[in-house]
Amino acid sequence: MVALVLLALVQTSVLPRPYAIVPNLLLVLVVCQGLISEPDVAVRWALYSGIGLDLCSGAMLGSHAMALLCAALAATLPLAWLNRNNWMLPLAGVAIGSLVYHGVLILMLGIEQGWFDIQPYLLVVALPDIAAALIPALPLYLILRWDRARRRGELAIDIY
Amino acid sequence: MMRNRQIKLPNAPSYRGVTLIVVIFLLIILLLALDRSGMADPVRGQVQSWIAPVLAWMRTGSFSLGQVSSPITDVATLRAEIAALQSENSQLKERLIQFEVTQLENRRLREQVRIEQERPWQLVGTAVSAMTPDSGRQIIMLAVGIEDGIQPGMAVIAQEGGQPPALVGVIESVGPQSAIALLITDFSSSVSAQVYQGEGTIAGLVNGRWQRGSRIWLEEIDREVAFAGGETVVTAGLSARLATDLPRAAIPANVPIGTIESVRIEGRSQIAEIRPYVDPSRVQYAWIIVNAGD
Repeated sequence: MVALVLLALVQTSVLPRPYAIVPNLLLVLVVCQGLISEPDVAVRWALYSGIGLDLCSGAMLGSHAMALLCAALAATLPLAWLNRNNWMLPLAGVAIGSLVYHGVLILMLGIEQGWFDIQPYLLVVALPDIAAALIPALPLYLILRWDRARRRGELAIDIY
Repeated sequence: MMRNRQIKLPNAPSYRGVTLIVVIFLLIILLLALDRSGMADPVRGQVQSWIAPVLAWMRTGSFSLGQVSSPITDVATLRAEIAALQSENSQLKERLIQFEVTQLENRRLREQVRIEQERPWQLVGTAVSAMTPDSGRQIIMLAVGIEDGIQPGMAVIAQEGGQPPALVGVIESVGPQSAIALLITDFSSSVSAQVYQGEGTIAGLVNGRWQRGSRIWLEEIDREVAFAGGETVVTAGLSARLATDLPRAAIPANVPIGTIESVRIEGRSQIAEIRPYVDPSRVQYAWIIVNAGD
């Protein structure tokens, strides 16, 4: 929990933002954790990370927690039938998770501030964010999978 | 290389897992409700007042101080000498970092004094402690609050390169030692503005367009007005009357915003795309106008 809040501090303060694109590390971490372990673990991580992000950024309390929770569920439940040794799993999971994450944020933004045309939002905000989230997805997934296998004494087999 | 045998994993959430998901979902709904009703504000303000200095410290790079030294416990003379040298090196690096921080603070204070000499404003300078965790909103957290005399509606200005100090946002909410500023590029931001042309002024509203694929637009301009391009857009100081969302707006008149880049007619009015003097998403240090000097 403390590590997730610290990561929230890092994401909102020191993480580089090339062309105003933010690499959403916590989203990737929550989705990857959900794909590797049980969805309820990802949901707990989503809560801690989301509240951390809300407090660090001054956003509406609960908004990022809700977005991360929905992203974790949407990414992990439909992909639960896939083998976790499949390298495509984190990429598909993070892409679905990011899309749902932004969908929830748009919904909340609309409720809070009024509705707007979502097409430019998707092109200018969501798509670059999704692309940026895909970059660390695979390395982070492999690290988490390796860590889990190490703890359980398993041998990871990669499937291409 | 192996083929994927489509091994089905027991990943479906158990009864306990489903209960946990429902409980967390309800908890988040409760948090959202508390936030909307304003009941979470005291707790949030208190937590942010703890977080803000840490965030500001992290952003200014001071956290690298901790990486400088490493303890050496070997009893051998050579190792002791190395330890002494490393310690000295660490102290020197620490001093260098402190010198750089002081130099930066000095430069920022000089800039503040220069702005205050040129304008009638009284400013409070602060580092930007945090930005939004994604590109969905355009808000920043500042490391000053009620204790520094900051109030909602105050204008936040910043300077970039050789550009004049320009408006980047408006204070939206304030905690004891932290403040949240809504950047002018956010789609919910609306600030009254004017363009000096000849003997008179042309009034309009500067609206944020980030979520709509642009930066800022000057809207509600009379369609009969002709623009050459490059005209300076400044605040009109009418936000308190025009923007119902900002009832306590305290943005003074004539704060530079940017220059007109292109103009097009839409309906019975004109819309001008503005190039801001300062890119709000790149701001590291900002000033809040606490007194407009009127």
